[in-house]
Amino acid sequence: MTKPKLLCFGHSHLVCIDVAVKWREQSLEGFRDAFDIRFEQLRREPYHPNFVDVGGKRELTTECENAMASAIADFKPDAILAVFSGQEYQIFSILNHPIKFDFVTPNNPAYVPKNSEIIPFVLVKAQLKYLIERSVLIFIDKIKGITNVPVFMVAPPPPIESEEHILTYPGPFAEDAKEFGVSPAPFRRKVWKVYCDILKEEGARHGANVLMPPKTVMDNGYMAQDCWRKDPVHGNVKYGNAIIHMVLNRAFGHAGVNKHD
Amino acid sequence: MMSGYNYFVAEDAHLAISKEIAKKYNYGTFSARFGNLYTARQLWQLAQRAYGRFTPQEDAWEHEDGWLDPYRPNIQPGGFVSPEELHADREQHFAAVRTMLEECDVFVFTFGLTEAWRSKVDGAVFPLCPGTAGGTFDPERHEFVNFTVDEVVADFSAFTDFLLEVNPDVKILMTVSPVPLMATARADTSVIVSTAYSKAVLRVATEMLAAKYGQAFYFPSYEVITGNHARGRYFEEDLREVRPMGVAHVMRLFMKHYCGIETGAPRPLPARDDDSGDAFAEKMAENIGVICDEELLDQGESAG
Repeated sequence: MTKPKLLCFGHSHLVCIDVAVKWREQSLEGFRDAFDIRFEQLRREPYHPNFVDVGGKRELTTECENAMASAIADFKPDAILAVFSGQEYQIFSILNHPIKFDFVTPNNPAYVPKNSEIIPFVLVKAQLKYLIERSVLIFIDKIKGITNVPVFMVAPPPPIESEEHILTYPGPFAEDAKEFGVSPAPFRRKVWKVYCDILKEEGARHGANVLMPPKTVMDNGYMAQDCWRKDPVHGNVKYGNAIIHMVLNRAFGHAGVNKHD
Repeated sequence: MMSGYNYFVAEDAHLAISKEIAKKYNYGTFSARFGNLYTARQLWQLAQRAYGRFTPQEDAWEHEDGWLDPYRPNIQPGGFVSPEELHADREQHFAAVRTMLEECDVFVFTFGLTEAWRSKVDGAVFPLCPGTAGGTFDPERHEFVNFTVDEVVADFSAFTDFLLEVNPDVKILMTVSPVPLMATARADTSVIVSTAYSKAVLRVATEMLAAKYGQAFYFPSYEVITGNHARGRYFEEDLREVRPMGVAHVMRLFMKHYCGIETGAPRPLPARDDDSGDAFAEKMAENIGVICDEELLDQGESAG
């Protein structure tokens, strides 16, 4: 029997999924026989650097484009998992901007945050959409131009609520976090939500099935604590495991093993 | 800026917003995000509103896209999500208007129209007829007005007196828009006749204002563009829009005669020369990049 093939493209948020799949292959009986899963890390050569500026327009580099096309042609996937970028909302929101800003949302239209410059909501949306168009959608369009197999795009992990965790594992943010401070968790969650709403809308418009992280990795709109990695933005192997479980179910109707259903 | 002068923008988008997006939402187009100010009354009311001296009763228009500001209905495509958001943005806008008035070295105003629509309740003037870009026209609440020379002079005088109070050293430069009316609201009057009236009123008013105020000057861009000598060549095919070469010629004359700068032959307007983005966002992106690289390096380990 032919195993269903899943080709996974992505950036750093793909790593925890990759590790989770390796763990499944080693630890779960029958998993290796159930699926053929291949990972293509776009932060590595020949994909990296991904983009080039052509007359003011951002395009994939020829190397990246060719490598994506080759990966699809060689592997002949039945479905594609896309975990592109996703850091745009973190760049926008993880630390307090030197000129603090906030915004009103349609969900709570009467609440105007204090002590910050208010950026109109339509502008926040337009900015995040602009960032998505300049990264995620370029990849999606490329894939859809090559193959008709279903593309499942997973939204980036939600923010980590704990400021303490971010300050304990700030990585390169250490200096700036000290100077500007981690932005309030509800603000980061709000930005993530807007980002995901745009991703769902635009992803669908560009032919991808956009999946949100499952409830099992969420806690009140934040990343569940047992999914935190020792850095301020990524999910761990448990997070990756939940994502691949969801994607396999959605793509092929099962995840290979019953006990993790 | 090419000539050593700055176009003073007191209200720009937050640095977190890209220039491309900011421009679409009319940041940087105007010195503050007030949209087109067609009449002297509109200008005077804007100043009064910015300083809390006038609060029109007509406050916000609900539109299918969101809430609109009746006094700048086209300023933000998509509108505001609520009256509360509109008010918050308006307060920021008013702060920018105050900064603009108090800190500018030269205040330039182009008199555009004499025709306007206003509230019967409190005289608030709208840049567009209610019911066009937003709101609903109600003959019980709204009326057409065609300002006279005396009214234009009185409005701009009130504004100038106020401006000189908050910014005593400012110089004021007045011009009249050469763009003819597209339509008139005057019953039984041709748009050609209405244009002639409107331009005549505005031109007389600027002459009177220049004579009245030592710090106010009239620059004849209207004559440069519309005069017979130009043979209409500064207008586009639609006979309304001014061609870039006309704008460049006006600016060259202005720089030569008012600033003592020879800028040579007319040339296209410069592109925005401030390409610096949000340094903070760039740093955040760099940091994220480092974390993402580390994530890859750690892949051989547990990733947990």
